[in-house]
Amino acid sequence: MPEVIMPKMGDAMEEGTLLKWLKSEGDDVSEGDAIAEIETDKVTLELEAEDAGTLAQLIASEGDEVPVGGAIAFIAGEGEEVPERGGSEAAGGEAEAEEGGDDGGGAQATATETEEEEESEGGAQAEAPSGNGAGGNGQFRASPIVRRLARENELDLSKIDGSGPAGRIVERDVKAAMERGDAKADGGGGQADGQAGVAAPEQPTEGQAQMQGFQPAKLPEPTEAEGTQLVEPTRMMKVIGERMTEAKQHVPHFYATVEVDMNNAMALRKQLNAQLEEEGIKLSVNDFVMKACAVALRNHPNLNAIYTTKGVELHQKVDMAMAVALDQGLITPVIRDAGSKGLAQISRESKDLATRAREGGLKPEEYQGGTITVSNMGMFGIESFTAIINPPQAAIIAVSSIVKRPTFDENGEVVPASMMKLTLSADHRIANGRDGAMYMAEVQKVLENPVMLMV
Amino acid sequence: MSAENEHSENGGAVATSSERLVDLYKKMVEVRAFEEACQKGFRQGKIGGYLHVYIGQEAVATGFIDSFKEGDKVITAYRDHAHALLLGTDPKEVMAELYGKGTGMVKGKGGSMHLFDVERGLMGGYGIVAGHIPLGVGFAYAMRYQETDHITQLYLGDGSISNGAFHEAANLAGLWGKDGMCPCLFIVENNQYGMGTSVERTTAMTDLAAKFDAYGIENEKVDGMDVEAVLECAERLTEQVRETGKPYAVEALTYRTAPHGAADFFEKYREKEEIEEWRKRDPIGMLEKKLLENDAADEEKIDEIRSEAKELIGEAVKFADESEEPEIDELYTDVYSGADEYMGEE
Amino acid sequence: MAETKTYREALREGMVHEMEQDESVVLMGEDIGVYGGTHLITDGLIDEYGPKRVMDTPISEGGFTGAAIGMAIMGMRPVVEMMTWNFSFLASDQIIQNAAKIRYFSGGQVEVPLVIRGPNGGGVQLSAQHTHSLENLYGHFPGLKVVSPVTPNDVKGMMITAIRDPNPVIFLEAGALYGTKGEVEEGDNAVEFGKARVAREGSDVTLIAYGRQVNLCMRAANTLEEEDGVNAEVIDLRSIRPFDEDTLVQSVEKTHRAVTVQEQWRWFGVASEVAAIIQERAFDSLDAPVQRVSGAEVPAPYARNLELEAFPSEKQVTNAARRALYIEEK
Repeated sequence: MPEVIMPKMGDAMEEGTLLKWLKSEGDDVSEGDAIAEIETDKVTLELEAEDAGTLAQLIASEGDEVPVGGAIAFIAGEGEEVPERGGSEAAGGEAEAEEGGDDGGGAQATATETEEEEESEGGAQAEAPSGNGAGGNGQFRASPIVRRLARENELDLSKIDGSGPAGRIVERDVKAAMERGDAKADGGGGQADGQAGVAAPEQPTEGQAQMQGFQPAKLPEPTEAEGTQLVEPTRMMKVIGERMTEAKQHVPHFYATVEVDMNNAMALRKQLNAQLEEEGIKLSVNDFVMKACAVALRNHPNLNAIYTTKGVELHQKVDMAMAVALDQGLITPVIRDAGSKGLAQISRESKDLATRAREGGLKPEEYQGGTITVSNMGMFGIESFTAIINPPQAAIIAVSSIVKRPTFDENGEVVPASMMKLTLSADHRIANGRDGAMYMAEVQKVLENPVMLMV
Repeated sequence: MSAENEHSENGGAVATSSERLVDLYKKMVEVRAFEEACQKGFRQGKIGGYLHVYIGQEAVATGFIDSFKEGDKVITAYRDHAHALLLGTDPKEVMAELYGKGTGMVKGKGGSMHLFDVERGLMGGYGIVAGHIPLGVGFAYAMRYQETDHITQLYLGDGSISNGAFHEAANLAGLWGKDGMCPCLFIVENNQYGMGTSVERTTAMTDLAAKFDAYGIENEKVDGMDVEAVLECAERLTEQVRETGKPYAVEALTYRTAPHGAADFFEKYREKEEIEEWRKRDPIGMLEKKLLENDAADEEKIDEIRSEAKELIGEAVKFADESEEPEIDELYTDVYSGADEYMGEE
Repeated sequence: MAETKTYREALREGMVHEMEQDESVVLMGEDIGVYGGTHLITDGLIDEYGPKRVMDTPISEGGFTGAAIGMAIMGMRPVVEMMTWNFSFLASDQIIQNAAKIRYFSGGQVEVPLVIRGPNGGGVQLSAQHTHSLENLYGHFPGLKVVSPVTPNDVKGMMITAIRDPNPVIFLEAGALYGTKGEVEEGDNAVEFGKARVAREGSDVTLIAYGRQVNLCMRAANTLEEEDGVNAEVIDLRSIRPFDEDTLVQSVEKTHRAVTVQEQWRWFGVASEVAAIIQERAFDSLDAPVQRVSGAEVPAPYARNLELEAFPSEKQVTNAARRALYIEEK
């Protein structure tokens, strides 16, 4: 009996919202038919049927939040009946929610391993990083005492790395995590129980507060005073907020700014656009910047990297993400292998991606991955700014507006120049100050000698 | 397998008082009636498991148990209903045991093969051929160790004579008997077949009594179908064993006209003619004839005895039928003696 | 008051203690009287108590065990020696079909206050037919009690308890340990059945054994302390039937890890029972599966090196503990 489940559409996705049913109960369905509209934290998309049959039961209602892997409907084959829904396959990362009150899940008497195998049905699950021994569905290989400690202390096993065989989480891992204080489960029911209420933002833990030597400001309760209004964050805002907080807290940022003379680049741009007009291509300044950043990475490969559980992972291809502002937040579609693509192609792709991003029509593979990001706020007249790194990327480049300024030429004469500031934010675990500085110097050089963009 | 009358070594049956003979007759008739009722009960599905009846052999146990004295012990294998009845256990309790009821003589936990009435001296009832023989020898030793003058009547079949346990036990009996420490009377109930295998086919030397010579145990034979001959033997030998503390063996030649057990339908191992021959020497039939001939009893008395027996056994059957099965909790009792009555989990 | 005695002396003391109290206690066995016993346990006792109480038997294990059962039923208290438990197979029909069951199938009319004792276990190059460890075999049958004492104090105390017990007791002595020494309490030091002994207190892992493997575990515990800084708890089961589940469970609830060690073969052995009990009752306390260390799956060989290989070694035990602790094996 094929279940239709909430698919995992992004590696941070824990649940999605069923926006709208496109078919009704009892309808015949063929493979590939769109049966519902699903909203994830990034995009809205159509859910396609993977089997043929009759849409036998609509389990979720429009507007419901369903955890990844949760059943939303059944497609009955010939003569099949819809089975009783017993203990729910409440998947998702909260290992102790699955463990705790839920008698239906998991026969206690069976070994941990078998328990996980039996319960890991359901759709495509992106593997969590192998270190914490997750096998599909967010289940973790953990010894019985570990599960008990997790229950008793409200720990999230997905946050603990296992040092036992095959990544099993064992007692010493839990003890260490409890000392560090970093394995607490996220606050209560907000995610698993289908309400879109405002979850209280994470307060610092005792351990964290003590480590910092002073008490950071705790968040106040809403005042509910006249003239105030609580804003309900969308899923996208929540996720962005989480990731940005994580980046700010855990990634050791350092910054380097260069001021680029864009005269030559602008001239070349004008020249090229004249040629490309009839093809309908119009190169933007950003296209130049992106290409320059990609080219410069050839000589500074350690900035084209991500930070993993096992350390720095260098990438040969430059998958360049570009920040696109949306009404409800931000998304970063990726231009794959930007280093091998010409300006025209980069331009075409970036425009297409940006358009579709604003429409909410991006596919997950189009906004996931990426090794470096370019964020351009030049169009707003921003003279300079620093951007926050998108973990696990090594760096982000903030592009500011072009300002006409007086400069000195080689004779010491004052001449006007179009100056643009670029600020690098880089992860000090991946690159050090000198690497960052030299990279930015290279970017500057390429942009000021734009003919280098061709090689 | 001859049907000829084999006398005890003393020669000739002993003259016994009429009363006594009538009494013996009555007992044998009761035993026979009981065993026939058992066969019926088995066919009706009221008795389960194994059922080994004593039909045809009544004279042996009747004769020997007549010389049983309080404090003595009787131990036999699994053809044990007669021994229980003759020692005085209420037929109701015996039948109830066979019916697997809580009112049975061992609470329904043993069945046909495990009849015990310790107060009256019946020490079982064992299912493993020859397995009980060493126990009997141990009883005898204990009796002298404890300085009593009791004896043990140890019944065994012709089939057990081939088993190691018999030989080891007989050797021990002979050995301990040298010091007068083994007042054990071995009574070999030679019904000529170990289930479906005749004595000729199981042993190279078919003189079963003589086998005891190897262990220094005096022995003799007796005609197991002649209750008077058995009686004489019993009186003399129990007396002797009691006095000397030395073991003695008697081979009682007998015949079971019934099949070995309830499942022995076809009896492929013997001819119908043979059974018929031995029926002519049926111990009850022979005694009845004698009683009538000697005016020890008349037809009326015979009938009275028979109908009383029938009534007695009929009541036993009724009692067994109406009794309840054992309480489920009984499953867990008597595993161990003492405070830790039962060790284990449900 | 306690004195240092050998296992052999303590065992004898236990028997003598009861023989003095109760005339119905008699000893039976092959060559226990005039010869003095193959392990010199009963040496001289025939002179003191006479041949009626110290009986030399012929080589008829089935016969004399059965006779002893008969005597016990009659109210005597025989202590039967199996010259070695390897000979008990010849008596097993009597032990299993009679001694264990008579009380039950007589509806409780009879009891069998019998002790069958003798050297059990291997380790002294006696080769295949003379090397078995029979705790699991006899421990299987309801109606029997089975004990396996390791220390001199326990062998005396448990022998006293065994003789007093109105049930048949299978008394498995550690044959290789007759010469070992320990503190033994004077007088009546009856040790109750059904209670395991914590031989060494610890916090990190529980080592469980019976028979001479208890001493092996003590050595392994020392090694683990020295080499790995691991503090192991050692439990001497000593009472196989009745079995002390609670001590085991409490220990594992404390340490979260268990290694059970036995001389006998893995399949269907006592260690399997230990593992089953622990996972049933202490599942949520376990940090690793229960480890079993058993004898090699072969009949016992003769050559010294092969024999050492065939039985659990310190290395196997310590490595099993390390596996349970997720630290590197050595």
